[in-house]
Amino acid sequence: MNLEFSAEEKAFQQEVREWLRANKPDFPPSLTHSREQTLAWEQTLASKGWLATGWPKQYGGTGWTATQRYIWDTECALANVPGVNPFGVSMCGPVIMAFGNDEQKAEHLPHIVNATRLWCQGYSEPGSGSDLASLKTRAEREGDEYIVNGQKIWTTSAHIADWIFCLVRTDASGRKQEGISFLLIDMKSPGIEVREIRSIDGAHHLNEVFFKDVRVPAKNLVGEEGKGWTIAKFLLGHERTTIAGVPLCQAQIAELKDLRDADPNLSNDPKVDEDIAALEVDLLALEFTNLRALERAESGKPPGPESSGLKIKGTELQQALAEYKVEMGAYASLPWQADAIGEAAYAQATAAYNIGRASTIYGGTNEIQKNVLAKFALGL
Amino acid sequence: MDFSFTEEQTLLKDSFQRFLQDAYGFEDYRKIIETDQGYSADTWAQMGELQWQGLPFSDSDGGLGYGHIELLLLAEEMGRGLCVEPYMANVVLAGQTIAKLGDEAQKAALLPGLMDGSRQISLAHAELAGRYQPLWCETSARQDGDNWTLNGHKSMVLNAPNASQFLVVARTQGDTDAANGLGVFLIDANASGVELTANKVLGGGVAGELTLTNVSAQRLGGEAAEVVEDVIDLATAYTCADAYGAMQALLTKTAEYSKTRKQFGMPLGAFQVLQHRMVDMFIEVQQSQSMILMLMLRLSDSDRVTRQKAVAACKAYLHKASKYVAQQAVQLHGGIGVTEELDIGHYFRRLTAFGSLFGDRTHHLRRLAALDKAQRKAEGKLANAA
Repeated sequence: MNLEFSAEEKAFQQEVREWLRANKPDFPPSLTHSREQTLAWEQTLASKGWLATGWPKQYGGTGWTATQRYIWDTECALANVPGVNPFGVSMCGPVIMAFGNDEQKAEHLPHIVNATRLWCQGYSEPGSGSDLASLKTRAEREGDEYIVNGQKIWTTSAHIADWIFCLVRTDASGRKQEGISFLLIDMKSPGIEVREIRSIDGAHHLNEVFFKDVRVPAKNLVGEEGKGWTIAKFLLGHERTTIAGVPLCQAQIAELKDLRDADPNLSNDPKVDEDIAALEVDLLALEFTNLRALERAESGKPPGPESSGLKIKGTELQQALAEYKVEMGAYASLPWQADAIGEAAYAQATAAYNIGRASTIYGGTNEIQKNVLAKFALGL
Repeated sequence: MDFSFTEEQTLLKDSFQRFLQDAYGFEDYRKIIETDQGYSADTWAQMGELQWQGLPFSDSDGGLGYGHIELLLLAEEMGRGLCVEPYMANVVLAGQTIAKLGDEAQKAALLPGLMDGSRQISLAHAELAGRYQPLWCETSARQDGDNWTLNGHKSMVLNAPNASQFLVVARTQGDTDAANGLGVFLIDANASGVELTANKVLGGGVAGELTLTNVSAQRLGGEAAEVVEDVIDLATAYTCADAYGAMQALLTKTAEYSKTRKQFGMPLGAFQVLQHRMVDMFIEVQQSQSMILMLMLRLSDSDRVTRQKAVAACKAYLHKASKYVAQQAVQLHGGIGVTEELDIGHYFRRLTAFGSLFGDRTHHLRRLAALDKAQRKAEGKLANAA
């Protein structure tokens, strides 16, 4: 057993740290970046060749090992730089690599890896949340086109995106999982309407997307018609080693300690010490579970039982950290605007806590994750 | 990055598991815990023949020279196998204290018997009024030439009724809770002034309350505060691995039971509310495994505070996780879960005892915070703190 980074990995860590220090954008992480901010930061990464950290080199990715990616994620969290919009790089890109044809790869992958197109994800519908396979948005074949009608919801970044990848129903006759297809749609297509949803943090990052007789070239179908559910399942099992958000949690614990130690009211209260220690212990368990998953990925083994709980435990801890920060802030957590009273760090704490409730809902609710675990880990 | 065990470690673990499966059925266990000594002398002797007791001692001390990874793998199997042999009391608590403090003559006199299972020694460290503070000590040691005289009262001396000798932690100087001024002293169980009241311990095994009145003693080494703390930390790590083994057994048994037990015409495992409960147990077992791996890696760190923080974090996590797994295992078994007939209740007792031994979650969370804050203070991050 050994957890030391190799000499090459340590050198890589140093290189990454220095590059981030020199190229960090002048705006902090946020869910409400403008299209210009998002593109600016992602194009900075792309010009260095460090945008697609999970991609193989042949498609313009970094070709990094799982450990290098872990180092990258950790350094990004420590440097407090914005995250990368996941819908292109982490979701649509890997799907096109695995299921797309050569023409689709040539058309889309360069735009993703160079951050010249932004993507969003058309999965959930008003009537299809956890029961995603019941989705009703129809795509009917007419010559070389599909005619798409229906509605998607909770579509993060739809208002700033160029393209959307959608699960659509191409056949309603059989089992609900069997008539689903995976379709790429240009957001500029006539008949698409985006309406904003104000979320619980008071901000705009979620949307509804309406499709009315939207004509989509049939060449934008990824994989076979009716096999979209296979792709959806592929994406659910993807990115297991980063889903827990360990580096971000580590940065947040460090912030909580700094806030505590700067305030005598908090730093002299043993209950606060005990509470933060409890969060830290939970994070340590999560970190080592994540490292176990990473080690398996590194050595080419399939994900083990340890990785199944990562989404559940990771999101629960993210929520607990956000919740505790609000409590630490006392009155400073109440203003519903930035820089009103007290320590500036608390001004955003309440909004972050509010929208953080989404993490146990999106990407398959934690209850759905438990259904899956009951079946596959316990054989129930 | 590498979490894998060596082939030798894997073989050792398998051999522990096989031995305990063959030699230590649930019915044997139930008979053993009803006896006064609370362990099986036959099994203990067999373990001695297999050199289990010599496992963590160095080659030069006559042991097998294995490290803490192998020790924790053994502990895990002890927990899984519901084994109540007095391994931790003799080998970890007493044995490691002697190995770290004793001179060559003392080691030569004590360790061979400890390693073949013929000699049993208990470490008397705890005092009721000190709760879980390892250095809290009212028992006094007075020097008179080469001789020392002990007075005081020790509690929860594990396996004391079976021991022929005790190692007593006593204060040579300073206040009751001072960070140093401790010594470790060897006395015979039947020496003049030694009074022992035996009691059984929750989850198996026996212990004793020890009253010392002007007992003549031989000292091991010098200042012992650090050794006492380190040995108790190693024993804490041992109990964590033991608990992890027991938790795995409870999860497996509960999931199996839920597939066969039927109510309302369906197996229990078909009810979603119970599925989710068992998934929560499963996740806690996985997280606990991660903490044990963390401990195995960090216990060999060269920095003492890193080792102490690892032990504190592991115990804090596993206390909560083990309580959850044990409580839900009983709950999901229903009525039969609260009887002595089924092993489930016995694992429950074992894990309850684990929670309190060497400090509960609250104790170790506070300890972790104190260690962390001391480091931050040294780094100048505690500007406004009192």
